[in-house]
Formats: sequence, structure tokens, C-alpha cells
Amino acid sequence: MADPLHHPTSLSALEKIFSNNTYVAIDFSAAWCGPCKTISPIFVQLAKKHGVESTLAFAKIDVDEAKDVAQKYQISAMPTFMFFKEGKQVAVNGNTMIRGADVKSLTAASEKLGGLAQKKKAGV
Amino acid sequence: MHSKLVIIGSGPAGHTAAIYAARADLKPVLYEGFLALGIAAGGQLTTTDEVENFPGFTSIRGSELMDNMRAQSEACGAEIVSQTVGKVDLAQRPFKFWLHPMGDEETLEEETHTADSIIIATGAKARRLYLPGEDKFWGNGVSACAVCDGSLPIFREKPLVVIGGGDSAVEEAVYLTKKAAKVTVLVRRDQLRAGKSNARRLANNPKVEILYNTSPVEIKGDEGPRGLMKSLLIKNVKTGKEEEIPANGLFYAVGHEPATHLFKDKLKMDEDGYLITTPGTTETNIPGVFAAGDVQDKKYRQAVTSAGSGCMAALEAEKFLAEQEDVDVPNGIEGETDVRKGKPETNGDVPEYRQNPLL
Repeated sequence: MADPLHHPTSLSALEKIFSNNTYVAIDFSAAWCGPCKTISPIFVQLAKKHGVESTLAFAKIDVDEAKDVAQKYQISAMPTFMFFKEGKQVAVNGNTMIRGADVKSLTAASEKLGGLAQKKKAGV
Repeated sequence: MHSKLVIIGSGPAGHTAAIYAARADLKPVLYEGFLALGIAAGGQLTTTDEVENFPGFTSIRGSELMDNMRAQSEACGAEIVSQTVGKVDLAQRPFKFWLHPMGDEETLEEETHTADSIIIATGAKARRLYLPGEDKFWGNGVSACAVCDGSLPIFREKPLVVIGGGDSAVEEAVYLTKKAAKVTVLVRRDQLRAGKSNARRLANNPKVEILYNTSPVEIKGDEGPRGLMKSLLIKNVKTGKEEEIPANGLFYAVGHEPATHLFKDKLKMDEDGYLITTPGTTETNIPGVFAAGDVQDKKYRQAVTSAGSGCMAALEAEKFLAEQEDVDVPNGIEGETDVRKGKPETNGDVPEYRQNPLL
């Protein structure tokens, strides 16, 4: 996997990812955000570990580049992590989103989604 | 792991100390912290957009300046560990400390690390006021960093409020006018503490309104998990009159808290928690423990003064370590199991700092 992350820069690009993947985990970040940079390599690692072709995609969205997406989801602090099933936002482990660079919650959420994706792929 | 010199902190003080210590062959290990206190490695400058007063750099993004410092520390030979120090024991030398696992600030790793000398450069963090409504709207309008959050879509062309009267408040307010419809500055007293040219720039800005003798009372907004801040209840502290002003963003610029919780009851600190150092030096009350940067400076708090004190700390640590070595021992410091005071000067070139000309 060259780059385990998608980098949509518009709502239409994101819609494509939604239609091609059952589950999507998104990292809303900004180039000038320190904690975003710190947690970024961890998000990449989680994507490599838990990503499943067509079933679970990990995407990183720069809120300055994809202003329409940031506006739609009312991103108010970076980083913010959101999770989607079939294009609709869902709660994972009881959180509709993770606000801030919370490694523990992000890892747990990615593991949970990874498990669900594996099951889906296996047709269970 | 045992090190001759450990540096805790990764701002300008920490990295300048690392550069000097590495070049003095002290093989320093710098613990940059993993989101310690919620701030990325590099410290407060990573939350600053444009730095225009660091000599040698007309204008540079804060995070870029810190990336440069980090790269230089590594290139000089400093070892950088991306973990947060969770506990220290300074009762005797070698000093002991324990790390948090990466991303976990609740548990401590088992391994006990030791150091012959420590430079504390853990810096400070912006203060919050904990007003009613603050927790609810944190991230949904309330922030302590105008540069980090000021460009967000929820603040574009909206009325914003900055609380504070110092240079930081003024600079943040001016920064926010670029994107906001209006910026109201709430100053607790009847005048700004900020420098004259900064204060003038603020007062002359057409988008700015300064309210003196005014304090915030409560943050209000829409209900629900994504409810955004809509207004701010304010009070004139002299007349007692309260009013509610429309505001979609509130930015704190009310001072800093030094990151010294690790050293509570272990090192001398003042009533605000800043580490006390012997004037003109970076020495704390424990020989071998030095403090540099904002953690021991509530007066200047600039990147360049922190860098300067980081250099002082490294030079003082070098001298301290040299004084601990008994040069007659065949294997040097490794051959000794107890620390004895050796010759006071092993290298006649080590400069003596009796008085800091800047203070």
C-alpha cells in the first residue's frame, strides 16, 4: 500500500470514497496544527493495520483545502476524527466523533471498525 | 537507560540546550513529550502562526521554526525521545525518572531511567478562565489559541471576543480581525498592559472595540452536542452593569501556567508555580538540576530569551558535570560508583557567568 490514506479535497471526492467503501474513518486536520502533526503518523499506522479494500477506508482531510467539507461537518477544532457507515456519520465506542489528538480513543475506534470491516468482508 | 544529561522539554530552551550540550559531547537525551499537556512537541511556538521577531527570521511559521530547531538538535547528535516524562525523583544523584507510554498519560513505564544532570525546559501553557459554558462550548467557539482556531469557518465574518490586556491579547485580536467581522477586546482593568505600539495598532483598527473594566460572565449558545457559541454575557466590573453581546468566538489571552506539576514539592517554585532559579543562572535549588525557558521566566517569555537560557543551562550543566568528574580516576566517570568533587576546573576555557547582562 503506497499511501494508505485518501486525501479528498472536495465534497464530491469524499462522496466517491463513501460510495466505494462501507466504512470510512476521517482525520480532519490542518497544516498549521501541531497536535495534528503529532497524531498523523499514528493515523497512518492505523490505516495500514486496519484498512480493508472497499470496506474500510481512512481519509485525511485538510480543512483549508477542502473548505466545503469542513463547513458541512462543522469542524470547529483540529484534529477531529469522524466515522461513517455508508456515507452516514456513526458513533464508534459511544463517540460520534473524537475531538483532539486522543491516541487511545482513536486506536480503539480504529480497531473496532477494523473488526467490523473484517467481518463484513468475510460475509458474516 | 542512564544519561549524563537529560533535557525535559522541546521548545526553544530545550533544543538550544540540546544543541550546545551535544556539541560539547555530553550526548544529551531530549524528551520532547508526546502531546504533553495537549501541546505538540515543539511547545507553544507550534501554536503560533507567524513569528516575526526571532532574530534572523523576518517571518517564519512557529511550527517551521521548531522543526528547524529539532532537525538541528538531531544533526548535532542529541537523541530525541518522543515520550512524556511522567515522574521524577530528585532526592539524590543520579536522578531518576519514569516515562509515560506514548499517548498514555495515566500509566508509567516500568523502566527507571537515570541522569547525572537534568535541564528542565517544560515551558508553560495558556490559562483558561473556566467560565460557565466554557466546557460546553470549548471547540465550538471557545479557544485559547486565536492562531490555531481563528481561521475556522465557524468564525469567518462573525463577531469575536478576546479576553486579556497584554501583548498576547492585542496580537491575537489584531490577527483575528483578518477573518472576523468584529473583534471585541475585554480588558479587566482600565488600561491595556500591552506595549505602546501594539496598543496603538489595536485601538486604530476599525474592526476592534476595546471594553475596559469588563469581565466575561457566561458563555451562551445553542443547545445540543454541536451547538455553537452565540453570545457572551459580560459585566462592567466598576458599575456592575451586565449586558449580553453577540459573539461566535471567545479567545483567552490571560496568561500562562508553567508546566511544573512534575516538580511539586521537589523543587523551589514561586506562588505561581514558576521554578525559582538563582538570578543570572539557570540553577535550581538542587545542584545538577537546571531550569530554562518559560518554566522559570514569567517576565520575558520570548522564544529568543528562552533559547538564550537554554544555552546557559547547557553551559552550566557542562561545567557541573566536569566538576563531578575526578580526573585521576583511570576509567573516568564510569569507573566511579560514588560521586566525588574533583578539580574545579578541567578546562580553563569554560566561561564563568556571574551576572546575566540582560537582567
